[in-house]
Amino acid sequence: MSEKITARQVLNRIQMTLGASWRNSGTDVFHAGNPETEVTGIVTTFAPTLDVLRRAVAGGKNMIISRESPFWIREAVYSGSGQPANREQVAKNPTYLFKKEYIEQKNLVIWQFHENWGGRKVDGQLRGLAMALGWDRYHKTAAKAGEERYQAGDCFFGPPATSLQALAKSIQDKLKIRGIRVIGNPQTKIGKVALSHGFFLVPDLQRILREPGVDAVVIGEPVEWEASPYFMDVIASGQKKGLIVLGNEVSEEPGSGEVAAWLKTFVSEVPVEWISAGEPFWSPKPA
Amino acid sequence: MADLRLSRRQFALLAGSGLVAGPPVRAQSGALTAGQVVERIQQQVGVPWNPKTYRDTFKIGGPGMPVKGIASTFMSTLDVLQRAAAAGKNMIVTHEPTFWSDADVVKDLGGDPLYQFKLAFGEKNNLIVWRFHDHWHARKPDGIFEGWNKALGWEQYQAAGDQRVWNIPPATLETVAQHVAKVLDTRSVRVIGDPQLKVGKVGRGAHTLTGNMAVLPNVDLLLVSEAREWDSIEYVRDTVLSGEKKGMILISHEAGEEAGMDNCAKWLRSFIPEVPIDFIPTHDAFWRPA
Repeated sequence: MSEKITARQVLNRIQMTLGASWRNSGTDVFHAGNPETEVTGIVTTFAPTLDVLRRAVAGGKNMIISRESPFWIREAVYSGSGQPANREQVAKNPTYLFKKEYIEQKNLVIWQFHENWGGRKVDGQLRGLAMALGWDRYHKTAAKAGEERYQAGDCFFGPPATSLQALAKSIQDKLKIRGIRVIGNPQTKIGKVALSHGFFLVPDLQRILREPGVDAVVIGEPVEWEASPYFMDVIASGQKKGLIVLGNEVSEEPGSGEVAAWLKTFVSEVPVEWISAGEPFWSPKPA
Repeated sequence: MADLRLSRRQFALLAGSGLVAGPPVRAQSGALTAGQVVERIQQQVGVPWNPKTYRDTFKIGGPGMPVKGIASTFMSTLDVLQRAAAAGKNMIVTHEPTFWSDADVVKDLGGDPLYQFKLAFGEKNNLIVWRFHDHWHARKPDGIFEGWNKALGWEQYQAAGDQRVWNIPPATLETVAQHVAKVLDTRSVRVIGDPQLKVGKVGRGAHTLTGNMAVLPNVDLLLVSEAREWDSIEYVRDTVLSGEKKGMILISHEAGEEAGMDNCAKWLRSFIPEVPIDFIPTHDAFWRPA
């Protein structure tokens, strides 16, 4: 590891290796630090929380490649989402100022890798989550000859038949999570499961439900006046199905492991490590 | 000449799109109509009616239809419509959308079998769904928070002149989270922060980062019903990681507003004596595996 590489050179190499045409994106930008900084090591993560940044610094790594922005803003479109985030308000916020100072003091460079990572033929976020669940052996659809798995629509799995309650419990245990939420009759029989990740909207759900025989849908984060009541109505219309809501971080974090593994195939100058931001929540036990 | 009479389905679509306006149509033999109910609500709510509201409009059925009974609810889910119909309440006053988007946009739902199913159920049972969101919030006091405050048991702790701040007797974050889960009858509470942190000043947050950022710096505990996980949640997490002694309790959207529609049923009864009025809970649909 004697050769030097800057953050911008890492980005250039990502652009060359992506395998899809590069989109000029509002998300995939340097949010902090000087792109000409010499990189000492790369950390991938879902969210560059202060904890992730501290662990990166402790491990001697100064470039963070994150799915979400360090300063929380993402202009996502859903109904009734209101005005765009107030950037003036954020710029005066004490947590923002604290985090910005830490980043500057430690000479960190933070680059967001979201839209373009999603532009690849293979859905790395889905692959990471399926691997984390141990579902890679349970694909419901046959692999296409000569094609990699986890391309668009390759999201149906057949884990051993069980109930909704037991499936949710097994996912909770496997991923070691605390904030999982479920909709549906716990006794509903589950054979075929659709897996998705991240923010989940009604068109995503409509598309999944056009696939015959889906008993359960596993998702990241719904809007509670959009996809989750749509699912409640699916059940009330007489269909026996279940919805398992993992949380956004839980559903996306394994994808950051995929990003790290992918980077290692073409960045050899510096160490690359995935640091999980961890589930943000805990849940109280009943009083 | 083309037949200009609308089928009930066409009428429901028009009503949902807000194209039907004008004075309420009088039903036969002086029965109370949905339009008259809305007119009375507009007179009673105590704030000027916003003629441009896209939320507080008919979503199924229309103003001319006779009302046999009224059900108020947090959200007009299909399950709520089924229970209302079974209870003989054919007008549903809902706080939240019917067709899964803020403005109940149905133009792309024509081919959606669930949309067809829900609309057909409404038509078959002569249901009227009318949304009451913006003006129930705009009322003074806010009708949602008035009911929610009572449900929480925090009325006596409310800060003077601010329905969204409470000074509760200091307790641990875990204890407060358990209290909230219990009194709001919700199983899906999620928390950020040290469970043993003592909290006293509580602020009600919002669905947005902007709303939550306006409140958190001034309180120990942010209480929020539904917020986006990439912004509000990560902002709160970073605030705690920065060393601030703060916490957040995140409840479902339903748990944050359901009690406000129970409150609405009581309010409606005070000026609509002609028909029975009930609150039908939507319930928190989320549960957690043991």
